[in-house]
Amino acid sequence: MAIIGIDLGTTNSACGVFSNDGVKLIPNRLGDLLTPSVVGLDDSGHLVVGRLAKERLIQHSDRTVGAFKRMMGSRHQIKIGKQLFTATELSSFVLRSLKEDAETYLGEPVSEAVISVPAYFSDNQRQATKQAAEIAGLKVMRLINEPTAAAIAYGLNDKQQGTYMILDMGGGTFDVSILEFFDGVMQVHASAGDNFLGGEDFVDAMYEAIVKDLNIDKAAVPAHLEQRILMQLETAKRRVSSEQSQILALDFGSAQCEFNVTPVWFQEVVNPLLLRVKVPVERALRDADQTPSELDDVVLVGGATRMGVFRNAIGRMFGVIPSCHLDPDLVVAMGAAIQAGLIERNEALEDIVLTDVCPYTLGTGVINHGNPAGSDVFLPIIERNTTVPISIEKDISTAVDNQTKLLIKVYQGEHRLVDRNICLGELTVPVPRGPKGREAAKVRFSYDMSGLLEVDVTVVSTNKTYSTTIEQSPGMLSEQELARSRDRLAAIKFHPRELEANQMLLARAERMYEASLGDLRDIIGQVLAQFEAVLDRQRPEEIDRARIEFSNTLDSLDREEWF
Amino acid sequence: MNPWQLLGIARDADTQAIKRAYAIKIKQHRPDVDPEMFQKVHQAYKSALAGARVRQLQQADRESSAQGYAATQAVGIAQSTSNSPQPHPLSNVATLDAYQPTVVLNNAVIEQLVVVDASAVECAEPLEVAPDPVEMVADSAHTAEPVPQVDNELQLQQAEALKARFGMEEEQERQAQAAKQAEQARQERLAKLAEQSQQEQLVLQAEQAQRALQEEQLRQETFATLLKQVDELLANIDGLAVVNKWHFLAKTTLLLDSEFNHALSVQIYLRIVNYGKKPLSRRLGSTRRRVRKIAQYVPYEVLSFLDQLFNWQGQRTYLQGHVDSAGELYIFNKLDGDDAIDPVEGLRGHATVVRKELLPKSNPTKFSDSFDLQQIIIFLVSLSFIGQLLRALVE
Repeated sequence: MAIIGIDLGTTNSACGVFSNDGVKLIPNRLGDLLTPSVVGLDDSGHLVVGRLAKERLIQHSDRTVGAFKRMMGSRHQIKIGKQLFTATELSSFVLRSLKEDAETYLGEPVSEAVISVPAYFSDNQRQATKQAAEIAGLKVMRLINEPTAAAIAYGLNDKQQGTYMILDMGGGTFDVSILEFFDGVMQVHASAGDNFLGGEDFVDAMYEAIVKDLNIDKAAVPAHLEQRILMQLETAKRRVSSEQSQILALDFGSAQCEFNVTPVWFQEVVNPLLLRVKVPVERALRDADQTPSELDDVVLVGGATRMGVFRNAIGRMFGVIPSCHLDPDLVVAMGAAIQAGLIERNEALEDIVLTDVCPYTLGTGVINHGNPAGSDVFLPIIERNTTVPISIEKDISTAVDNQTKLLIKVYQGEHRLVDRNICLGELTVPVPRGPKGREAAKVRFSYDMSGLLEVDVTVVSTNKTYSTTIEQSPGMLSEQELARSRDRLAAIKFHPRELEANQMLLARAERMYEASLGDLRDIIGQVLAQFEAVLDRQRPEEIDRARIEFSNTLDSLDREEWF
Repeated sequence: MNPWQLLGIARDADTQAIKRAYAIKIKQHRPDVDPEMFQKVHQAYKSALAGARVRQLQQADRESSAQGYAATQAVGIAQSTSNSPQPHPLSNVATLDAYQPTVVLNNAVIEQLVVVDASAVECAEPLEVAPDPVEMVADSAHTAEPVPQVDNELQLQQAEALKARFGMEEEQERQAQAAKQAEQARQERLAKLAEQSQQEQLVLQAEQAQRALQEEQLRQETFATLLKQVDELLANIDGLAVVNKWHFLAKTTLLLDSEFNHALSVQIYLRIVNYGKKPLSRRLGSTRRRVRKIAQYVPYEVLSFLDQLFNWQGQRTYLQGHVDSAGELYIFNKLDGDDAIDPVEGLRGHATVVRKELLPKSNPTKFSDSFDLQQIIIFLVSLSFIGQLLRALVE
């Protein structure tokens, strides 16, 4: 039984498998390699995922949701219809859809997967990803960092020795990894990132700028119109480097206006975002003890790195010309599939070893003796960019006389004071009463290859070990919650798959119909009605023929580049 | 087992060998199969690499100190010889004047100089050709094509000497002369080409310099304009709170330039700190005492925008230590608030979001522990107090 490799992205997801002839990316039931990470419920309560859901995003925006990956690890819920879902649950729908496509493609059940996550994803977010897979009926064999996945795909492709910087900007996150490839070893030296910087932010920045420019009350813009404008802006963003001027007809409900998107305007609007790219890149270089000139190549991964402004900014800031010869949208999924092959010990990959790092510092808090009332001081246990898997132990002792409990909080971050770092969870262990400093405990942090942390505390005098995983890990579902969630979601059935291709085209035509005017609108209306008539006659051969024709017609009429 | 033993290499193995050994070893101890051994191998690898690096640096150090002496000598030669092919007579005089004393004083240099000059013609006895070295230096420096001339003379002399010694045929002499002429023509052509390319290069350099100058001017102008706009904003209390009004700063692509970004960052940082130090006077100025108490702050939204442009938080230590420590009060305290981006932002679609916090807001675990302790202490104290009372009563 094959292990599949999944890139669970903010905007798009993809999956692949490692077979004897190398990486095979798996097309979904519509024949596409990319499945939009959009989820919705249709009027009959059926689940829709992927392109069909994305086509429905405009007209059914209250029942459809996208870009929820950033909410992973939080407990916020999204209401679709009458039901509430966490980001973990929404992700599980995408995973379920990919899993079913893979099963159809491979002709066998699939129950194990390697899933890629942003390198800078925290423990919470990784746990949430793992749980999403469990809900979808997939066992996570490994979580792999996205830039590392991209690097293996490149490494295997080129087999070039050297040191590389991978810049991975997807829909929602930005990661930097510096790695070295030699003698079959792929060694990550350092990773850094920004979990809130991606292609969608560029679109949001454009929207904000236009709304401010035209003095439009954002709250008063109807939901479906806002989604439509975001779609128009996405298209404009993709074309901005090649077209000197794009006049967009924008409909805000209360106002209709034209807006000219020029490269200069775009550059001005996204400059603050581009500046944020610099911070993690500089940190990764510093941690890896490298200068830009020492790098053999800079590799671009992720759809957002297609933007001309991004490439220019990289050139300007670091004096390097980045390269990109694998499809930036698919390279992470390819890498995840290779990692799956590695875990299966595929013969073709026998002489390849991959080592990764922990991208942030993990530690605990200790009392600040200078100012005991103030914030605790961070005691780093695993320093950032340490090669993993690793297990490190530190001794701590009681801080006050007659202390009976030790509260060990687990933090992630780089700040001296724990208040400014992220609390991942806590553990309370009892200690025998005594004068301060007499009782000691060994705190052991173990960080595994998936980037998941385990904390063990051994009280020295009693020799008792409290080796539970973090007691109160925020955002993480307990066993019961997980089981409940699984049962609840299992009851939600997919929209009948065999109808999906037709439904998707209908939704697409409706979306296009609404967005266009005049003759174009009439034409779309006509072909739509024709196709509906064919569907009504229920003759499969006729439907198949008409579908291809309908799809081609829509392709020729669609002015948006949204997928 | 020391790192080298663990990797199975010699202590003086170079980086390449260390990497090769490491690659072999970790394939035997894969990180996912044998994490403990992997970590040991990895540590050994790092130590060995660090050792190799230190050795490399030491060696480079030794070499450079050995080369250092040779290098200074070479510089001496280069300086003296560089006088000769200067095309411009005026500048030549000047350089010659400047260098002459050294030439006169330093016999060794003269000797070397002559050797260098004459080596082109493979002359065995250079001093015979140039009996007065100082004069020769001056000569060669003044004339436009000194080398070919010397060359010529020398070859002639050489040829004559050869002829005298071996009784060379006239035919051979003519051949030698033809070769000589061809050589001379070639040299001239080369000199011309060199001159041409030099001129072209000069033009190119001038263009580049011009462009660099223009760019620099533009940078400085932009820098000054931006700062002026910031000053104007800070002078206007109402305007300053509106984030939009600060957006002009983000428009220039010069911000992507590290140096420009840093310089502007420091200047704006200083201005905002100074703005904060200025107490608000006119608006709330009914009594003097109240005026002093009210410091001016640039609002969080603006600071957070500026932080996005200049990464102030990332350079916190530098800015406070080397620019102005008052930034803690006027900038960083405000930024510390909540700089976390709302994960709900950027969601597509218009489904309703039901917010739930990760941790219960009241999170007094840290204090509850000390409360426990306090209670215990109070309990103990009261116990002993009661005990004492009882004892007193008994007594």
